[in-house]
Amino acid sequence: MSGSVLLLLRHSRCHAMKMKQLLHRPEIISIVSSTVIFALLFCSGPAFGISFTSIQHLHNVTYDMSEPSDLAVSRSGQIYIVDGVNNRVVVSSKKGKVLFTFGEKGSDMGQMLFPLGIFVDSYGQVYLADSGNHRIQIFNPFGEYESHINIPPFEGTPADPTDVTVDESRNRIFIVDNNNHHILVYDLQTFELLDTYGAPGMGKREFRYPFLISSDKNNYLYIVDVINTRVQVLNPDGKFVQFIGGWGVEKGEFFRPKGVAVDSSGRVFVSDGYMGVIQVFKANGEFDSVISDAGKSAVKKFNKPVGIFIDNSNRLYVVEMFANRVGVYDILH
Amino acid sequence: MCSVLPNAVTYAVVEAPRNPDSAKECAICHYRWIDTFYLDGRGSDLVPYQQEKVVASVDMCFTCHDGSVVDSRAKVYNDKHHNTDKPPPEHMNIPKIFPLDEKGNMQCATCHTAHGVPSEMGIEKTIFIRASNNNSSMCKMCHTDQTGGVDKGNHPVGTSEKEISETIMTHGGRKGDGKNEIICETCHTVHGSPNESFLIESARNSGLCLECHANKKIFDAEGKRNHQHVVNVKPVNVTIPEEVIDRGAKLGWQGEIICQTCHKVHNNNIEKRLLLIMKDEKSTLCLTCHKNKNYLADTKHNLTHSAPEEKNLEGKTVAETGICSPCHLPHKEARTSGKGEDFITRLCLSCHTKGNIAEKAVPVDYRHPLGINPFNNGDHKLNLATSSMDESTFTLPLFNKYGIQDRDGNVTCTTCHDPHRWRSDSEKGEISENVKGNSLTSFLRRPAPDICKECHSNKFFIENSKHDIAKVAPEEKNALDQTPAESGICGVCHLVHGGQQGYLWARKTVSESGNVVQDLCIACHNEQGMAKEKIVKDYSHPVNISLTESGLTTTLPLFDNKGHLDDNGLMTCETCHDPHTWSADNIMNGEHIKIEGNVRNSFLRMSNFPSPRLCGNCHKDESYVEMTDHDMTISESFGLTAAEAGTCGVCHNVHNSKNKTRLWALGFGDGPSLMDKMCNYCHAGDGSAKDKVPVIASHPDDQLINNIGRDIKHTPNYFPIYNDSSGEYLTVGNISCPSCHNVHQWDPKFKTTGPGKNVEGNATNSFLRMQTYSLLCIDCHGLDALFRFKYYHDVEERVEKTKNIIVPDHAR
Repeated sequence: MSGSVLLLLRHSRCHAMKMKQLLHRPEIISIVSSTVIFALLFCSGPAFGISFTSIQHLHNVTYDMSEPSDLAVSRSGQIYIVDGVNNRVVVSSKKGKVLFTFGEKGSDMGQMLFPLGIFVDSYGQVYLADSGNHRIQIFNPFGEYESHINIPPFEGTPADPTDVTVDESRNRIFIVDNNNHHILVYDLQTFELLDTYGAPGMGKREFRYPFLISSDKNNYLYIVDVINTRVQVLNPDGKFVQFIGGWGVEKGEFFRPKGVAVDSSGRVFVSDGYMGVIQVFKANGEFDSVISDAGKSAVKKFNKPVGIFIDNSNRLYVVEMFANRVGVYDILH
Repeated sequence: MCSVLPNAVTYAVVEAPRNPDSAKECAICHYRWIDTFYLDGRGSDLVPYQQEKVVASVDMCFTCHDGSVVDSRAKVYNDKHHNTDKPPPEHMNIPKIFPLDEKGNMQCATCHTAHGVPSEMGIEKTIFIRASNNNSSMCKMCHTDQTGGVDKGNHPVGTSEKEISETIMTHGGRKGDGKNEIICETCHTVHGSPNESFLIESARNSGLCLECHANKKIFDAEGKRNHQHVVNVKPVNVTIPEEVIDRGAKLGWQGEIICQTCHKVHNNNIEKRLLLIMKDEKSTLCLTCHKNKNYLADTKHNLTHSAPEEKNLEGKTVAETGICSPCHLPHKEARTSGKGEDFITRLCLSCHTKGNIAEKAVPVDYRHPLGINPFNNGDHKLNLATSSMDESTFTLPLFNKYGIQDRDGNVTCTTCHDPHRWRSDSEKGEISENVKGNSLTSFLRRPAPDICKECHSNKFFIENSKHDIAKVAPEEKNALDQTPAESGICGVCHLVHGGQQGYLWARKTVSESGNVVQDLCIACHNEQGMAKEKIVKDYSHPVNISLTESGLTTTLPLFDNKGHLDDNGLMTCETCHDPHTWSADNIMNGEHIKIEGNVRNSFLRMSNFPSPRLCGNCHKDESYVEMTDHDMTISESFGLTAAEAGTCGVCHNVHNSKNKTRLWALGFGDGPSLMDKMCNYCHAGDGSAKDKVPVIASHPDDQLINNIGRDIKHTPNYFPIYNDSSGEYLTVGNISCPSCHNVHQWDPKFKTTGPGKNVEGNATNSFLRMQTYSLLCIDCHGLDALFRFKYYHDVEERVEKTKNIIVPDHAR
């Protein structure tokens, strides 16, 4: 009983006025009374027992960027940052020294229009979600254009590819079509559309504005479902696995989830662009901890964190959109 | 019990909601309505308690407009949007339907609401704004002082006859619903503009203004300069006064003059009709910046004095619209342009032509060339460059073809003349009936000849020389009846306006030699001329001859008939002489008019001593005589010192020789022919070469030789035969000394100068020709040649073979 009332309170679909009216109804007064007592006894004040995952700041990558959104790191350690408002990709060394940039505003091959997401495969090929041009562009590691996939409109709505990931073992490219609320599966060799995962909605395999995508070592897909305020996990064949997180501002909840990354042990890191935090979930989707600075028992606040990445050295890379930088951290266990 | 919470969360996410969660749907923007804050009244482990309303803050809007739902990063965020987080200006009355936040600041929600409002605008236009913005009506609700058109001192809005530029649309501008209707958003865009005042295109380079006001562009589509005040150029001779800036005048980002330097397009309470930054009453606006142009007030260029009835193309007199207006209107042609090579010339010639108000001061042909860049001044060698300038000290303005000052531009009228200033040393002019310009006035930027010197400094070596007429003939007058004192040193010989073709010659020519350059020299160097002491008479070096035809080459200047430099032209006086430089190798600044000339000066382009460089420049083969026994400068002198005569001058007089043949400068000795006599003048018992008198030097004179095939100079078998009496070249005749001897080259095998000391010769050198040395005798005499050579040149040999021959006394 207590649990259900708690849920009623925590997950009520009423706003304040509705709640007031509800509390005036006699048949619920007894429930409310016991609930209030319960809440006062056990749940008032901050939640108890939050854990932290500490990170040690190494360096930042800055390069006069304008609202960068995502990044990817190649096996050799080069950092590819989507500097979308400047219509370019900034490439830095592992230590953060900017090596070169590529791209300019436009719709010709190699040009780009407000790109958002990025992925780098094991060969160093760069896959860019060229959102404004409704396509995925593929570049070699030096930023030279190689090929592209035009994403067609869906039922009259232009495609809005916001991110991409590649399953090299299955020869598949997974593309998030934000405005059409689904994931497109293309053949990596033929660029043929193979499948479409998901539809608009709030259920399993349903999305409301999926944004950035990541995958784990088993090529499971982790899709940030922004307005549904969750991360949805699908297996490589598109079958639903689980949700991670939910609506709210408590630990394990999201207000605006933006980026997702999975470390080598299967822990899932999710950034929240409004709360400015990065939360860590266990592989089964349970809340694990929140990121803090090394040596501090306080939630680390990022300046509008968006795309995040974890490399093989267990380094965490965070794009801070408002700070126009990428922070690089060692994850300390 | 606390373990319930994580479990509850886990449950919640696994069982996805099937229906919209109304509380979430609202709280997804109304952040403070989240249960944790609103019901529990607390913060969480992740965020602090949220009490303030942040629903429509920039940060909140950006949580979706960052590309994760809609990408408005470039258009709305990035500081390129209407002010937020700031209060509206104090004078602005914000209608109540546009809510400010709790601090009185503007936020996104001041104009926008996610809940929508009724509007006659389509959904594609509303963008969730709080009021209809049809034809920018919402903008005007707050910006009331920027509306009302020119009557209120603002750029007009509303329908217009003029088409709104399509480029405006491509930059994101919008038209109103009416035909060509200008609205606020035609020029301004609330979101996404990086430009000042949210303009769709920067106005700091006049770009936005000129999109519609294309007729105000200074260049038309073909690149022709229109009669518009310049924009987008930095003021060169003008400083924009502070008072103008204080009134709201703007400059380009690099300080350029732009449309808004003169025009204030909003809240203009000064000059509403033209939205001018200052009232323009009789050129007052012009003169506010162009202060120094007011110097023309007391000059003939102020039409108040010279042509008060003259009307400009607007039909206005100077009295009506001010002293600038007869020649300049900011956006129109003030006068019908004259014909000219460039924009400024055409302006000047709009008056200074026949039938116009300044016809008394028409710059007649021929005049100083225009359209040339004085820094591109040709060959600096031999002082041939027309101009020679020090860029660091050059003060005169050059102009491009559009009439804009440009260091890489060209000379035009206003390079030398400042039409706004009568004399450079005074800000005041002179007004009277009889005022006449001279080298100090005439609107010259600097007095003459200083102004000439700016470009032609290399011609000023003439000062204090025999060609400095002010020194040598101060009473002589030029074609304008000016003495040197009146005309300046240059004006003695050159007239900038009205000179004669070819060097703008200022003096009357007396000859028609067929070559302009030569006629210039003869103008003074004639029997009645002021240089009558230095005239060129008969038996002088030929002029008007083609070196090409003579088989010669030179680095000295050659000229065509009109006096222009021409590599294939003719040799003339100025080929050897630079009339502006007395001594090319030793520039003399002090007075040197009394120095008698020699081969090192005399206005020669290069010194002819100690090496005969000048003569040798054309006569290369003959210049090998230098440092040989025939170089009298090292052997012996004849009246003139060696330094005076030079190597060549010992034997040849370039000017006024007594002898036509070879311009022979010496006497004649004995001999059967003229050529022999020339040689024997020195090679005689009392001659300078008395040690080198041939014992026997004769050849039967009745054995005429045919040298056809051997009469071509510069060929190895050259063997010239000369007329006995005139020395002219023949093809059939007798041999003489120079038939076998090349007097200018010691050794036929080596085209080089001599060793500089006396050396004993033999049968392989001794000034013999190549032909002589190898083949000549054998050609005629076969193997008997040696005997014959000895017979004719060796007394002893001759005596032995022919006992009855009488040997002359001097040969014994």
